[in-house]
Amino acid sequence: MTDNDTTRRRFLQATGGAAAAVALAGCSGGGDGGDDESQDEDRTAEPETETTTREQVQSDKTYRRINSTMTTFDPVAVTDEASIYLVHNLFDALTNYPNGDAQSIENLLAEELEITGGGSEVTVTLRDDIAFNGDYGDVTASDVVYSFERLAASTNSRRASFLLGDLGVSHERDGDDAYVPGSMAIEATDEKTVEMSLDAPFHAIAEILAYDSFAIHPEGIVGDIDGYDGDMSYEEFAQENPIGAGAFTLDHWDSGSEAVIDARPIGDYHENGPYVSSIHFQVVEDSNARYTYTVINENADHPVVPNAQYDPDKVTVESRDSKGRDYGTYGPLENGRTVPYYQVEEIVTYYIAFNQKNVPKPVRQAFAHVTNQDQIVNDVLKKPAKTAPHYVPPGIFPGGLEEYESHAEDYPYGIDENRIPEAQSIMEEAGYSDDDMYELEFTTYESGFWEETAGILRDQLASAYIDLSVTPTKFSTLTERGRNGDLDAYTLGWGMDYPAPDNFLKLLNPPQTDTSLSAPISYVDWDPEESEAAQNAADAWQQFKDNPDPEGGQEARNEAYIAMEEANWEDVVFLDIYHPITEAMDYPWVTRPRFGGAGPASQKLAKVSIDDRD
Amino acid sequence: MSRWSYFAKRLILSIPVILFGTSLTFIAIRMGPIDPVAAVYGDSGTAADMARMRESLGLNDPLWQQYLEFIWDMFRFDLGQSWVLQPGSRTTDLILSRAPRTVWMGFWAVLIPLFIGIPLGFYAGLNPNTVGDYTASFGGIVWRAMPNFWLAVILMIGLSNSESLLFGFDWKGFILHTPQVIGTNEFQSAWNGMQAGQLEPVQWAKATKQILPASVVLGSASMGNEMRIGRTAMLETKHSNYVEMAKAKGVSGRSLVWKHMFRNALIPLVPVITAEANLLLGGSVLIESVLSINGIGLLFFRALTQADLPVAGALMYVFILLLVFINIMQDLLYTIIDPRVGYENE
Repeated sequence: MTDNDTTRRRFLQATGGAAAAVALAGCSGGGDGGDDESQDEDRTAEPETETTTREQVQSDKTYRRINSTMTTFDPVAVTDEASIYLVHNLFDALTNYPNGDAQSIENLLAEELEITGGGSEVTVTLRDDIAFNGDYGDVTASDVVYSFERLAASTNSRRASFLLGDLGVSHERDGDDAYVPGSMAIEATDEKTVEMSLDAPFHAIAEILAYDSFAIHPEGIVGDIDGYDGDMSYEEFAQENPIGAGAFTLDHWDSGSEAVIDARPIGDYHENGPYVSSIHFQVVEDSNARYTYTVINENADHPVVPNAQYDPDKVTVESRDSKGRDYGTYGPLENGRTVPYYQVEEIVTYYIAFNQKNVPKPVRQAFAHVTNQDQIVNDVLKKPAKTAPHYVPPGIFPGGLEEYESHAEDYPYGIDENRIPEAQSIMEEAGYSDDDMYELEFTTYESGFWEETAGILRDQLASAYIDLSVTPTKFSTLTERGRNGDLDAYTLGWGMDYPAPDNFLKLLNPPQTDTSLSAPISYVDWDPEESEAAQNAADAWQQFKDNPDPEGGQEARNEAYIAMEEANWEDVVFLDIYHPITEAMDYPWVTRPRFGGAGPASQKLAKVSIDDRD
Repeated sequence: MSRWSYFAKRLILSIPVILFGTSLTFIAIRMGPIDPVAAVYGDSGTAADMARMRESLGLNDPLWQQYLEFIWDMFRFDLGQSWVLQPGSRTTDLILSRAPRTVWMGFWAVLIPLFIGIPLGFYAGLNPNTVGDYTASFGGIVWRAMPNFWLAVILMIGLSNSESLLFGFDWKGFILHTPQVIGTNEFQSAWNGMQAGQLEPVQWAKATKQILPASVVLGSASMGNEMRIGRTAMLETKHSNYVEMAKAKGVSGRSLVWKHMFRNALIPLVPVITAEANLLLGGSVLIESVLSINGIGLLFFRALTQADLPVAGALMYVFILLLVFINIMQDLLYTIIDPRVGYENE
């Protein structure tokens, strides 16, 4: 993997890696690569052939990777990408995105997910052949109930809203609007069957259950919820001895230095693999250090090429696979090697947002006219990326890439072009001129990418009578100010939790953008009473809410998604800039299925094997 | 005033200093713009989850109540659990797991300049205005002027590519095989071994070799300082009357330098060295980041930027205590080293 998009890396760095800013956390991958090309069998495994042809042998090799600083291995507490790399391999969930491919969802611990009641009743039947690591025995229905109760009720849980909010399992709330422990409508009806009822039908049940927060751990392992004393202390579970049903177990973790996970014996794990005996994660954060470690000294099995060393001319794209990933080679690297390479479009969007109360509409529209996404990607990012006319990335856009492109033709502000004359006339109409410029504060989180972008925009916007003052700030400061409604224009990114457009568009649901709320979901104060487009967006969100039937409601939901995108265009709430593309590289001795749009952290590493290094 | 009543007075006076420093930490973190909940969630949190975390950390309590609890906990040395960096871990564990690396690096960073900077300085002072003096002085100034982060990158890349850059000299295979040029994994295994009761000299040698580049860089500024001050001190001593006197008495050159001049020239260097030992703690952030040594410096920096109040507060508290203690000890030591210094009111 390269230091893919600088911004995401920096973005995560800005929060020290402890924040899942654009947490590509969503999903897991554990099945086998579903796609294949005849020209690259060795890099992409096919499920049918793999089970029969791939020899189930575990080598004594250690797979060597680098990582950022990890924080915790408790699945209900984890929010950062670095920890998810491990959690995803230590624990399994009921469902899973094979290799982080957000388009396909498979059962993992579940044998079957039966969804009835129009999408509001779920019956989970567990597989018979699944067992936890160590002496914790088979995975049973009561483990599932316990794991979900921890997600809802533990004070350590950081993602309770996935279960109680997004998925919406029926439950009771007390006077303070807090969850009443034990009140969830989840029940183990027999040893292998769990029944859940939801408040309202939900359209992406299997998808959301793949999220790492829903990973299953043994009943009673820790005592942070009512009715359990805990087999071990919380600290031991979260830091030293996380027990799950994944393909690996934690060997040791020296906080801030390294972590090692050991493979379960082959055949002990309920899926194929693991083919290596252990995985070593060295904590290296600085980009020069990463380059030295992985390329010059070859201490890891994948090169990391930071921007300073990256050379676009070294990319040779040979072809495109069935999932739309361009692949080829990168090289030669400084160590003389030319390595297999591919590009994956991430399900992430970076955007500039405008607080609707603080910034007048003509200014926002002029800003959008002036912004040239293509120039930003080429001149600043200098890496492959997809310029974004829409907020919802192509990978999950209703109708896919084709619909994404054709709808983009209606983009009113000129994608990939500078429209300074249009911007000028809008601003002149609104009464601005060279002598009376509009002063706009543009707050970016600390990132070279955004600061340089802001510089370009400042120069261009000056000719459209907008005087941009750029304020780089710490990420947490930015969100804090945003919540208080203090921002004019600001930069952020969003990555999927589950692969459906509503997971993005909820940020554009006007009632939830009100910064007088205790924690608004975005900081734009888009008020349906002030703007017709905001009313349209609110109506569209309601239409989405009213049509939760997984299949029957699809068309109405898609319509609503498009309506929200168009309302966003009209008012320029989020000015979308680009969807990043991850460039993945492995050294030639690594056999690893290509990962998908949910990102590398969502790929189960049980499928990786290491040949002799030369 | 006797030495001991002075000492007692200093101890009592240190209480407001500690209280002030601790309060300032609290104010900076809790009343500033940083927010632990935002640091945990980034942009991907929902209102409900964030509100829940805020509640469970007690951030909704009145600020004065949080402040009193914070101060009381610090006073009792109950340093709490991390909020952001390693949720649920005891702060003391976190600090203890990171501290050895920084101390190991700092140890060599103090030692190396001592054995290079001071002898060079003394040499220059003994032979003023010679080619040797100019070379050493010039080298010292240049060395002093090189920024740490730059030097660290240069060393890292230079040593990693040593075979092509340094005429075939292979740093990774030099004496001991250390395939990882950066990081602290060798030290970690030596340290783990020691805790398990095994002293492995080879492993410790590897650990030393791996930490050397970082220590040289971290100590580079001190090295220059010590050289410059050592030179001046030696020059001054050389021209003092008692040296003239000793010369007149016919004391031999060697015994003059080692017995009479050396020890006296060391006096001005003592506070310089102790002060630099303090600086190493704060100054190690850049080096730790560039050479991926996740030690105390980076931990402190992260805790501050991500509003991990228990960790930042605990580290700050420990730093303040250390600093106050070192200062008191220094005052005390002055009277022991140099009997002319006293505490009598004149």
